[in-house]
Amino acid sequence: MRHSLTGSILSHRDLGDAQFEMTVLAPAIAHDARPGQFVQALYGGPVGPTMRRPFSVFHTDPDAGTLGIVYVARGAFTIGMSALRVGAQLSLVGPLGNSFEPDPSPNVLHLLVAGGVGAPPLYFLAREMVAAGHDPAAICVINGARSRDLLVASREFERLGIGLRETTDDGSSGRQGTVTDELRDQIAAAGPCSVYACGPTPMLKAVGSLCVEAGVPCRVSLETVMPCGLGVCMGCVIKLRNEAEPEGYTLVRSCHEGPIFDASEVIW
Amino acid sequence: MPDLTTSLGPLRLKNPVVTASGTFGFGSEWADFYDLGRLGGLTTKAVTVLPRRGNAMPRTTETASGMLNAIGLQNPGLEAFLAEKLPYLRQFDTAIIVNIAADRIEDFVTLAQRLDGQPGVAALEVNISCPNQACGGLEFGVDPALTAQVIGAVRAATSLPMIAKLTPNVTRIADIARSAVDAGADALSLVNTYVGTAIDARTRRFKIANRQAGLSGPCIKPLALLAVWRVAQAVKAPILGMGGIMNATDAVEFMLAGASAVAIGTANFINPMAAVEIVDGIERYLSQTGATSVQEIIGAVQPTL
Repeated sequence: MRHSLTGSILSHRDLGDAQFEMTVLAPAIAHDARPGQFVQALYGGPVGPTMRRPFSVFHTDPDAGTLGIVYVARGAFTIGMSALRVGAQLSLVGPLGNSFEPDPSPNVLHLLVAGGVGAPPLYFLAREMVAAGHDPAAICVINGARSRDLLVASREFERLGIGLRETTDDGSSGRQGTVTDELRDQIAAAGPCSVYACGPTPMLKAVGSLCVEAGVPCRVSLETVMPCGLGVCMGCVIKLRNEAEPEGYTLVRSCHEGPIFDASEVIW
Repeated sequence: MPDLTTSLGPLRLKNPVVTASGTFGFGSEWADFYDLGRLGGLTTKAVTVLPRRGNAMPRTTETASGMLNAIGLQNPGLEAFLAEKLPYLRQFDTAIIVNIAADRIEDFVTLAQRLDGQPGVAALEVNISCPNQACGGLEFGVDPALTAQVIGAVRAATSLPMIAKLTPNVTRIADIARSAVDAGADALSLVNTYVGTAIDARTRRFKIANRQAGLSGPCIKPLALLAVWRVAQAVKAPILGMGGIMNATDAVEFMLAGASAVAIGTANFINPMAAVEIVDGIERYLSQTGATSVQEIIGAVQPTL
């Protein structure tokens, strides 16, 4: 169920390189959120922004009623948000959208492919899978960024005891190269596998194409502008392959039918 | 408790708050937030005869205190609306206003005829801000004669209460309003969005694929408020006022300017509870100011300081 609430910021950490992690008191949303879902956030004040922005849920603690997000302070909204102090109020609507659900096939290697601030929903997924009794050895995260300082949530992934491969464009941590390079090798070496990906659109496109060619199931979480996040404004539509339509595609709402789609259906 | 009932001509509303077209889908997305029966009315997303895919992406961008949109009337079309959307809406005790759009008068007529007598449809809102195919894309609503043509044609095709939704992108909106009322409109919705655009200096591209887009949100409120007041001075027909209403105070201001009811649009995106909070807030305002009925504040702005 979706909720609209205002909660206090309980912690707000500068992770360096304009990345921030924030924890908010939002009990109803924390209770209902599933991995891959997002919240629409807005902070107040007469000179605050007008429209909400979507943020993937990083983690929840339903007992404490808290929810965490990670974001990059890069536009006016997020730069303003980065100045909010502990105790300030954040308005949240959520949880919104569909979720990552673990591939139920037996003996499958779950490959979680994260690019930069695409890591949070995949951490949430990995944590939920481990908590639900999945074998940590059957979960492997490929966490990539331009450089070491921009890797998100690597320590959190490590603590789950799951596989972790890092890639950086400059080689400052892990393998020098892209997540796609590492994913190609992983798929080649593994038996049946299933891919879950979140990151910048070019990365998702590359990951999706690789998986489609290799015949590997792949779910991607798309990032689009989302004016309402509630499924009504039609401002976040993407094209999904649909041979039954004369144009060969159906327009669907990233915020409502998504943000997670089967990579084989997405028209990039 | 003050009486909140109001009317837009023959359309009776249990309270003066309706949702604006295009900001509320076909209602089902709001099930988690509140009972739609709490609304005075609900205006559907525009329905066209055939399904429309809408414009290319990107379709929206935020602006200072507002947003631009050029969705392009993406909707499932008339028959899918009747089969899949209307049955859901029918179950709520609220006035369902169906917004209709077309680029040919005959399509407006088709929509009006097919919707006439459909159980659950309380009124039609005619979107005359669409480009008119027969006139080289000129919008119906920018020309008094074209406005009269389309409104007159819809009037002849339906006995439903009919609201003409006016564009504010005209020199003298009161002229268009008069023309719509003379042609048979029972009420007037104003205002639709103001046209504008946005450009990204870094990429040197438009931020909206369609380039021209409609501006909405709190930034247009002063403009919309003046348009409502001007039209209220010029015509007797009741007005559904809208344009940047974010809270009950804004809504009351529109009613003081002459609106018999108000529509909540962009605010739905920002605060999903906005419309029902505004219902409660108007009631509180009436109680606090000693009014016994919402009718007492319609057009009650003092003519002089």
